[in-house]
Amino acid sequence: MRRAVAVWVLSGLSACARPDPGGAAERAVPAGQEDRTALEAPVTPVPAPIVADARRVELGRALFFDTVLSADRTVACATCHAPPTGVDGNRATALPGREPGPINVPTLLNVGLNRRHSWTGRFDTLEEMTTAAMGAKHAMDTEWTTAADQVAEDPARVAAFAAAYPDGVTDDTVRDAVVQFLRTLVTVDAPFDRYLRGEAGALTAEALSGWELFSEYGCVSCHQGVNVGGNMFQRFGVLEDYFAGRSPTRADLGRENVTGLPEDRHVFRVPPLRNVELTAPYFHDGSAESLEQAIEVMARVQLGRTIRVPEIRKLAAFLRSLTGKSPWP
Amino acid sequence: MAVTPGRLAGLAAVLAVAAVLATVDSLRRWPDGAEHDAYARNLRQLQSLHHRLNDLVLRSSAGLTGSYDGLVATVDDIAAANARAAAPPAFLREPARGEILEFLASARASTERQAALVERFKTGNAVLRNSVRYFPTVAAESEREIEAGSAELAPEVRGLRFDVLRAVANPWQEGTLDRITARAEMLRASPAAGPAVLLTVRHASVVAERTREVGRYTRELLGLPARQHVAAMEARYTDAFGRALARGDLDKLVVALLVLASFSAAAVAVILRVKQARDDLEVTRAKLEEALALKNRFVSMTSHEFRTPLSVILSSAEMLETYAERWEHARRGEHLRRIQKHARALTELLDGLLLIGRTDAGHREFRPGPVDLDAVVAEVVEGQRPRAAGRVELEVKASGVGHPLMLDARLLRHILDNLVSNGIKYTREGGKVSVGVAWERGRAEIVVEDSGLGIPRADLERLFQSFHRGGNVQGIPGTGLGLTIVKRAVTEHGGGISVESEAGKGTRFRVTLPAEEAA
Repeated sequence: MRRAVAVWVLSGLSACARPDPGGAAERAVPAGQEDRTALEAPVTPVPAPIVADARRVELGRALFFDTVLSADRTVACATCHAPPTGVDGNRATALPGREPGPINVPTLLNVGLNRRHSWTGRFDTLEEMTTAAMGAKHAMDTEWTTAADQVAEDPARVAAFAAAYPDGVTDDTVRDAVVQFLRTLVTVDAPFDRYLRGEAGALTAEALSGWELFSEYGCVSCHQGVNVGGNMFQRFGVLEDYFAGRSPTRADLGRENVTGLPEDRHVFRVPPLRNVELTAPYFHDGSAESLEQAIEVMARVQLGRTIRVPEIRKLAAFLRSLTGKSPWP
Repeated sequence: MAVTPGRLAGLAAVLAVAAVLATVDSLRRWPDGAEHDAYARNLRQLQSLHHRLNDLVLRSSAGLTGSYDGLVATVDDIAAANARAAAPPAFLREPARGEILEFLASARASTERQAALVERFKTGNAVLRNSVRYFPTVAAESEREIEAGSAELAPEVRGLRFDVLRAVANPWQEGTLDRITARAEMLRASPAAGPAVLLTVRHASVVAERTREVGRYTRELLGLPARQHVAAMEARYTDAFGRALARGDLDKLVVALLVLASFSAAAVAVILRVKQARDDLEVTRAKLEEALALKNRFVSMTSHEFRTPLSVILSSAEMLETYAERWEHARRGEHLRRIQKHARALTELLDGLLLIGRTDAGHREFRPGPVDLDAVVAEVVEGQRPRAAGRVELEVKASGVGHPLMLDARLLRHILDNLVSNGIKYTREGGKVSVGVAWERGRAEIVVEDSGLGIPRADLERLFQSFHRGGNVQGIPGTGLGLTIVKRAVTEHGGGISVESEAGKGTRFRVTLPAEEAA
């Protein structure tokens, strides 16, 4: 009798285990594998998005695909930032009825994880970035006020907004709905993230070698953080001049367009590399058609060396392991 | 200024209003707990954010943290905390508010510099760490290259490699960095240097340059005064908060004192009012007692005054009944006259009482008609002559008014009867009572003068009060109503009466009555 009670008590005590430090329920940590998700690590896995209000996200999602946000009702966010990549080709060529965009279109996947937005890092918040996109002539060519008015023409939308926001349809709530939706566009469970969480066999041997090279070649010095980039600025061409032999376009000036300082010429936001497999072409001018090409250019201008094909392939394999699950509903 | 309940109540009200105003003012200035908590917490967080930022900068520069996410988040958090600090709680007033916002402005200026430095730091540090990470790979390649061909460079290249290792381990050693720069220059100039060696040299130079650069940024970041400004803000704010609390305590004391004073004034007002009411009650009681005493005196006096003539009437009537047939005519007549006389006296007394009673009840008793003043005076005096006979001399000074005047004959008779009978009553043997009458346009004047006892000065005030009898009339019977009746009659007639008297010498009553000529 006493033994049974002891067993019962002990099993009860063991059930009061410490909470899982990593948090993700789907993570399996086999014995012997270590959890590499320390905050000091250069790259951390993508966390699952926290949805504060599902109604607001749904409103944003609907607006994202709706041309109502543009002044002439021909362009939606999704026209350029289309699923599954969040970016559709090189829209440096124009949309019908619009001027050409100045620069390669960045993906909206994991955009909420970036600390600075757009190639020049001009925007600190998603609110600022979306506002600029609304105002851009090559994009929506409108303002939030006009968009809100157009949204408010639909009574169903007005009712939906009234249910989700105390203020109903206003500039701020329309913008907020879009931003809330964008925050949910995260790609979780990339093979590399599962590797970081300690899952055995998440990475192929080639990709693992690629990760080692990525670290040893120092790529991880700039392409770091939860989004493998997107949180700092760097010159495009540290050891070699990428822009040698060409007259720089306005887009080439990079952050000099923002700060006006000559030392910021050719300085860009370090692009985030998650899902990079999906977002060809590469660089601000879309000049690299393939990952391998981009890797070669980066090695040349940032490291000052030509790296060999086997290394390029390993690095490419690693970069492909950064592709997570599609967030598009 | 006399202290009255009304004034005290007013004072209490003023103090109460002052207390309310003081409370409202105090509440306005009282720190809101939630606002204070939020603001104080924000300032503390701001300080720890600056600590955290410096900590992360150091870690990044030492390669202890591979990601800048934390550093960027801290920069953004500091900006947000600064924005929150720009809205201090409402209780904060000048000059503390101005000082704190000034500190904040300095902190913000420093924070802007901090944010710019952090960006430059990240850029420079990334390049540094890039070359540091890559260096082993490229150094191994240069080793292979040297062994393959340019062995003479080996000592320099190896020296360079070790110096880079030293620089990474000991970034503060300027000497190491100088040596790297010097060696790099030399190797670059050397014709034997192959591509691997040159790349190694390039990265070694990057390490040296960027170590210096990152060192500069780090030193400047760590030396920024932002943290001190925030600490000053917190100190000043804590001080202001403490003062506001202390001020609140003082305010509470002031309000309590005002409330106490108000209550005290109100209490004193109530006490005074109660005392006043009691005093009034006392006065009323005394008056009531006096009235009761007067009533008792009246009852006893009147019953005596009524009983005397009534008993005479009764005795005469009884005697007439018994002896009328046996008595002679003259004696019968005498008793009959006695009965009439006393009945008349009773009637007059009753009439006088009625006059007092009815005028007390507010009835108007003035009914003027054409009256021959002299005739009435003569009539009254003749009626009183028996009373004066042998003792006191009676004299009449006629008015010489030849025509009738508008007078109330009844009232006139009351006046004259009482004044003259008083004069006779209170004059010793051998004295004189004179009645003078005069008439001037619209005004009749009657003067009744005697050389009697006079009225003591002390009694003159209360002369016309009911039942009042002078202090010097012991032994002389009287109702004490006579002059009351006179006064009532005079008042009803719309006239006035005055008296002059000297004790032992005599008294003069002067009555004036409005009297128009009768048409």
